[in-house]
Amino acid sequence: MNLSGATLLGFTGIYILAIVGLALWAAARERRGLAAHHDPREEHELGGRSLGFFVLLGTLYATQYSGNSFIGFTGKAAREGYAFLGGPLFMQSVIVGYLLFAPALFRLSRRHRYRTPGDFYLHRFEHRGLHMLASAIMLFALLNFVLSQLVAIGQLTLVLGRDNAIHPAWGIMTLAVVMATYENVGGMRAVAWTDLLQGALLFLGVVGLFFVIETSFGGFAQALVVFRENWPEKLRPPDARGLTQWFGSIMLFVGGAAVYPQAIQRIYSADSARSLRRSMAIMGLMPLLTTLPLVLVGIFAQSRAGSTVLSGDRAMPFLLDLISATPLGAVVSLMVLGGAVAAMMSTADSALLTTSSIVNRDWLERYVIPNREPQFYLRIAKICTWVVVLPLGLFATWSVSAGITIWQILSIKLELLMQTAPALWVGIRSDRLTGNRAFIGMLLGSAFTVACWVLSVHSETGAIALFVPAHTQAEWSTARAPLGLQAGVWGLGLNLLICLGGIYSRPRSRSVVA
Amino acid sequence: MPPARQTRDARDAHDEKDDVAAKPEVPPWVWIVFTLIYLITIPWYLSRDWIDPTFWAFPAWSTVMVGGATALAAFNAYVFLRHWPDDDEDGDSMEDGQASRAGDSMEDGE
Repeated sequence: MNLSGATLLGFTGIYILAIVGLALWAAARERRGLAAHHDPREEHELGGRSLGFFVLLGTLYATQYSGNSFIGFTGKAAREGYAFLGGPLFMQSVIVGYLLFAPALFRLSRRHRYRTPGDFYLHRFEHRGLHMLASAIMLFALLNFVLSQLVAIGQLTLVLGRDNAIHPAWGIMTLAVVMATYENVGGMRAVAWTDLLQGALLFLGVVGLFFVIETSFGGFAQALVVFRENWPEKLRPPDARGLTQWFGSIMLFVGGAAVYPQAIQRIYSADSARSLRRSMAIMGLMPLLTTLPLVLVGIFAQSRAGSTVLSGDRAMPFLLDLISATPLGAVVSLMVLGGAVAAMMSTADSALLTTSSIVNRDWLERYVIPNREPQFYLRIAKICTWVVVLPLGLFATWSVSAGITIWQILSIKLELLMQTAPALWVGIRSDRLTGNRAFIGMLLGSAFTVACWVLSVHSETGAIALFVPAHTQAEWSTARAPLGLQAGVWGLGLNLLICLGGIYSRPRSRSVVA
Repeated sequence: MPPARQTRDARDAHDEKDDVAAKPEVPPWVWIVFTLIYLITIPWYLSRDWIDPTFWAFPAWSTVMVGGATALAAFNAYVFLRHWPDDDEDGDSMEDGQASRAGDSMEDGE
């Protein structure tokens, strides 16, 4: 990238100062909240359930759009061409997925003071096995989230710092420490307010990139011409196999991305149903204003790379290199850089807070060290943040060297996370679904998904699919995606059938009351 | 524990349990409309050769898709704003003493 080390360092410094300033302000608000609130954990984990429309929208947006949007989506669009225009539709499906449970879950969370997604499972089903399994899956997904964002930060550091020989560990560990610190001092308020800033940066980065390409670098219509000449096959709509994958991806986002535990905590944190539904209504528009431009940007990057195929997630770094050659492009590059880092940090910090919340609430408070003072658990939650982030930071540093790509990591966590959805969808509507049946459904759905991943091996090397970079997918996809459909979607179908079978085979015992 | 107290606790737990499974608030016809929008938006029925005419940066087939995605966003917004009514849980109306006694308590103060 054609930006000097001093410019990058100065920009990063200003960004970190702004984040820390916002976090300190949020911490002061949390202290006032703590004085007024009887439970400090609710204040720390959910911001005292007081997030209004604007902050809620910012934090939902910044949490939902991660490093994967900037790096993974553009990389995939560069590789697949116009057939990846389904990307915005996938992201819209997340909001459709919220409609399946959010209105009822919000009401229940207020009435019964849920703090984690696990609270619902335990309260509704009274089944500890189900509660522990759902919490374990969520925890796995959350750790995966934090790790994938730290890996993305490392990859960005690697690209930006290559002229100055900056090791990825610097970027990863600096931002990890900043995140853990502001989360410790300000809890959910700090995370949500910094998310608002990060969401604004993310959006500005996308808009800036879109306009500079359209006005100064030949535009997106030109990319279409280049694709027609060089890769006409990539101009076509998806074939039967591609459509199957589209269907799978829509299910993956309806079932998996809509039940992100950190997003569910944001539902709990809303100050009112009015704020929540207005935020969600606008979130439905954001894929058209964020994902769609980023897909076009990925396609444009490949059109400018010519015969060089932008494999893996190399589209965005290539593009930043390209546009930073002009003064306007350099400014936009900084905006994109800020947006990308903001997207990564905002997703990671939310996942980090929810991780400590689940460890604390769902495991320690309930099973390991119950009946202690709220202040004790609050201290544990803060320690937990550090215990999680520091080892993951070291692991991420190793991962960057090993070349693990983001899309791969996203796939497995979503496919497992979606196994928690049927119990939520069905259990929130019907009192006839029993805990045992929901547990069996979740267990079998998860076991099937993991088995497919583990049994799927690389055709030449024999390596387990889980550890093969994403762009070699075609060589090992048979067991990973039976009949072309992701294993997790098959698992979800099995899981849902078991849950639905439960409600239709059992007589209705009493009326369902809102 | 006296029998009278046991009876009251059991009744309270039953009443609270009733509302754990809550009514879906989105009317069923909404899901039919969503399905129709998806069926129109996903290009399963379009010819794979339908590239021309192109519109700005989009091959012909993808304009149908982008149009469908726009309709999905608009309908999404409509459903969230019109079919998710404000209810009595707005504001700070949490019922402090109303935690479940089913399984582990939702309230630590109990």
